[in-house]
Amino acid sequence: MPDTSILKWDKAAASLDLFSRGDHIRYEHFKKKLFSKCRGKVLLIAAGTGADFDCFPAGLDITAIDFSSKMLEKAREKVGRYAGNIRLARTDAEHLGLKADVFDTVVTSCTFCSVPNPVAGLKELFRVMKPDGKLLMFEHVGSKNPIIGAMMAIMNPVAKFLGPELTRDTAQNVRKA
Amino acid sequence: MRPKYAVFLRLFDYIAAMVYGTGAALLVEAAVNPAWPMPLGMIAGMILGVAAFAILTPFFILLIGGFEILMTGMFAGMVSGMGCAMLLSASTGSHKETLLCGAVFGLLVQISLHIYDVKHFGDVAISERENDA
Repeated sequence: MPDTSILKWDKAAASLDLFSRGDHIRYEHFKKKLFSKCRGKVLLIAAGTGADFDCFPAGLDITAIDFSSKMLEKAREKVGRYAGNIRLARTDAEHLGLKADVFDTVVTSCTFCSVPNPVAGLKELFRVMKPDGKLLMFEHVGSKNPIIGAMMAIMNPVAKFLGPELTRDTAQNVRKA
Repeated sequence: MRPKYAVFLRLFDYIAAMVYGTGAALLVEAAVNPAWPMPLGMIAGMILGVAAFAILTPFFILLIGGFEILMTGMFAGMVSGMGCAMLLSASTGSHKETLLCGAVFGLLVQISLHIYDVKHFGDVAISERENDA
């Protein structure tokens, strides 16, 4: 993964909890509902600062990865608060370095707005997921409404510089993968 | 089903939209000359509305999150900026009335986005296997 992407998220790590607090309050209920479908061995892609750890049901065995060491430093502080097992690993979504057909559930949370090559990343997820595994995604995507979509396209360069892209068609990327 | 506190978040969204609109109106009053041709004033108002969005958004992201507020703020800023510039060109309102119009434009934008948002709710099953499960 490009070093510029890693640098961007290393810089964001210091303030991400603060700026994402509002979204966490707003969407925590929906994340908990989605993540309640987790079963077996779980892989969390782009753990970030670990803000989503409290959205997982208790008692799971979770491998949480991120390519940013600064993000993982923040996430490490939250591991102890989870009523289950969380292993942190520094790797990137496009080259996980994990064995195939291992995970029963793969979870992403506002991840594939930021992975530089999303289809490659999704193919990697499917590789490490068991054939009967489940992919749970909580993502923001580009709007199909032409007016809102145009607004997102205008704002996208600034958003991409600061953090995530706004115009990804993640559903289509999943189908391609 | 949405959590009970969702109504308070939605209330904050409405307040934020009106603040965006009022902010755009303030900038328009400060920077747009009523003697300008209306189309020019409206373009300037739109740009000033985007400026209001840029100034206010970091504050609102901290309070209520960025995902919902980005579209609201952009639209409310632009529409209020254009609308208030148009009113200024037509010399049809006092300072208070212009600010009120900005707030109303912001409110209308939020109502429109809220109605549009209602139908976008729930899980999206991409896989056929998910539908079978």
